[in-house]
Amino acid sequence: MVLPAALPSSVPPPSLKELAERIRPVVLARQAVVPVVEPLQRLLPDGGLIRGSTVAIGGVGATSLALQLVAAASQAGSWVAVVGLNDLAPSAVLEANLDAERIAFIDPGNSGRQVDVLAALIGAVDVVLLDARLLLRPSEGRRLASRLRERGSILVVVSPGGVVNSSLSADLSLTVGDAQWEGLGRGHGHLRSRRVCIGVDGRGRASRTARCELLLPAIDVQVATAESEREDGTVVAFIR
Amino acid sequence: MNVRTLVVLCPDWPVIATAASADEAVAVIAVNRVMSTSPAARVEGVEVGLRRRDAQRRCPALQIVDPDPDRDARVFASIAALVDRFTPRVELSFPGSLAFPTLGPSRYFGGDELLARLVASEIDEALGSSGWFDAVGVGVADGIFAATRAAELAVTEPDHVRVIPSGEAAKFLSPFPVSVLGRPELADVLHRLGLRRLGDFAALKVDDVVARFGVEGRFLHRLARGIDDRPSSLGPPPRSFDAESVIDPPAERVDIAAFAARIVADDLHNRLRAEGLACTRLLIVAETDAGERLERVWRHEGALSSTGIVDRVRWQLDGWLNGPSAQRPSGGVSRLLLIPDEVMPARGRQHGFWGGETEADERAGRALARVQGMLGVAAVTVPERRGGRGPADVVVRAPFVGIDGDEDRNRGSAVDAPWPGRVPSPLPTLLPSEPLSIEVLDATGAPVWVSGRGTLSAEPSTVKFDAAVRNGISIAGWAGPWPCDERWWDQLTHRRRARLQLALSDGRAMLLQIEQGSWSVEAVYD
Repeated sequence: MVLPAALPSSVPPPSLKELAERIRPVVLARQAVVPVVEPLQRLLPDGGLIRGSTVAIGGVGATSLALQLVAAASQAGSWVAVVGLNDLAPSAVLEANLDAERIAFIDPGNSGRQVDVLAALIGAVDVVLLDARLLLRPSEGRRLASRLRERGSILVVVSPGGVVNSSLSADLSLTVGDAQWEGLGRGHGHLRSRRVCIGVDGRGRASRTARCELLLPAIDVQVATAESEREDGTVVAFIR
Repeated sequence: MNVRTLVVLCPDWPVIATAASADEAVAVIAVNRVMSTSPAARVEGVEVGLRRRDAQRRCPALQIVDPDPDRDARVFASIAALVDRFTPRVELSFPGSLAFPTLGPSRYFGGDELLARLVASEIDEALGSSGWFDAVGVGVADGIFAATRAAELAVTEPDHVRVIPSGEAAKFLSPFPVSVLGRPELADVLHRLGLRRLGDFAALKVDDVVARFGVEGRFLHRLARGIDDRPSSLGPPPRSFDAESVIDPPAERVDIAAFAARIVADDLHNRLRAEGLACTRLLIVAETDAGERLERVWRHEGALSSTGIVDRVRWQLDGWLNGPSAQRPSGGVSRLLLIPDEVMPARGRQHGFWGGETEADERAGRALARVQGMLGVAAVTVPERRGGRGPADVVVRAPFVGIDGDEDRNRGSAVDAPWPGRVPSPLPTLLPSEPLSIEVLDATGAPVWVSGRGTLSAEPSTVKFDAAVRNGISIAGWAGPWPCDERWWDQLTHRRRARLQLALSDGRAMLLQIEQGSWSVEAVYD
């Protein structure tokens, strides 16, 4: 009897790594990523917004950054609900390329029911932009965060020009600073673009602090791909 | 607009309704005057309007009957049922007269003339079976007034039909005495003015008629000219689909009320479905045992299903029973009323396959409707492009009414218009809900203002948000002023202002406006 050239016993047992590859769930949390516009991809540790996460945005220019952050998701068919932020200009929202058919502004006023409103929206819409000035109790914040993780919506807490709301512990916080406008002279021209520096901080993969310079908005209407590496290693991307 | 109308008229109806035979001398006498007579009595000289004693003198054998409008209407219903076979849109004017628009039936039966003959022979046969031949007239004309006149003449015609060709109502009406307008006072005045025929009256100028006889005169003048635009009450009678549920004992909790709502909603849904209808707008009324009442209108672009109705009842009650204590009702919900406000033929509903409405859209729509239930309809808004110069005018917030119900929301000529002088892009992101006043100062600390010709008095150097602060924030760059004089043709909405774009040294940028000498922050570039 001739034995086969390769005995079954000679096949090396699969390594643990391979086994892990085989039994892992189809989609990891890290992979349930909602896309963002190209210049912002290098800013975010996962290259996009992770479903079920909370993102806090603060500083001068927070509103523009928040709109840009959700613009690609809106274009891809996600619904965006804006809770609070009553001074947000709808014209700027549409200019930031959000889909007018899939956005709604909700004004909870002083009804004191912002938690109920958020609970109703989470899971039903993909992205919720929340006004950081709407006060939430820490217990409510925790409840919303667990509901977020369960339903896979993204909560973006915007504090225009102010500090980040502390009752919601953010997975990722972006702080806009060092804004410098270009295009405006002394009595001539008009505002064209703004150079900002964005600090990234957060938990988990985002825990390494990073800084990034962006043009927000940029001069061109299209998302500009031009960028330049500076000597100190920060990347300047152009966003609009 | 004149509606081509067919009128069936039985002038002797009060007598026919008494079930007297046609060859008896009968008169219906009301308040001592003859109201209606049989042909036999007419032969004896008994006329409408004659006093009772005179009538009895002319015809001693006259049977006198008291008027009974209920009896007249009851018997006439059988005639109306005959006409119902020709058209469902029968309008009863008064017992003895009915009308319907001929548009559809006439085409079906081969023309006004044929239709009128069919109707006349049908009714004449029915009346003839009780001996009342030749008691009906059928007239067809533009408008109910001319058609009634035609029907009056038709009674004496051999085939009981008189059709006035389209467009000839005025010509047909002109030889009639003015008394047919049914306004004795007006007829009296017109007689004394020497206007005895409708044609004479119709020949007057409208302005003169209005000046002398007012709105009613104008209406009668139009009738005389053959223009009969009385609103038609034709059409199927409105059916009520209101569904009600009395909850006993009153429901203090939302789920109990929602359970009761499910039964009513199913009932409502079944009744609507039996008629092939679907509800697109629903009024939900909830009442408590203390008499408080909460009404809310719900709109749904695809028809509301019975689960959809229950959801909305639950959301509405949730917003009420669990809301802020100031608005919370003092008792439980004791009565629920569902009123379909708008119904439409049910066409079924399907999700979009490529584009269109998706499940995500529906889910979002439901959540937003639910939020509307908590906060009120006006609390949820969507952007709507309007077109304009200022950042606040280009896009406004419009109340959310439903998904894909308002497809042309973001279109329109004003949106794509060039709007010269508009604020250049990028647009500011924040619009303060209340104008924030600000001071603009020049290098010497004197206020800067804009002249009537649109120039700045001096180069701006600092701004102060608060007049009490000693040092303002210095200005890094500025552009303007951009004068804007809008809607000068309208006193109420006229705005004359000038805009100034500023970049401050701390990195902020804003759009200022000066209106009537004072500066304010119109928008912020955040």
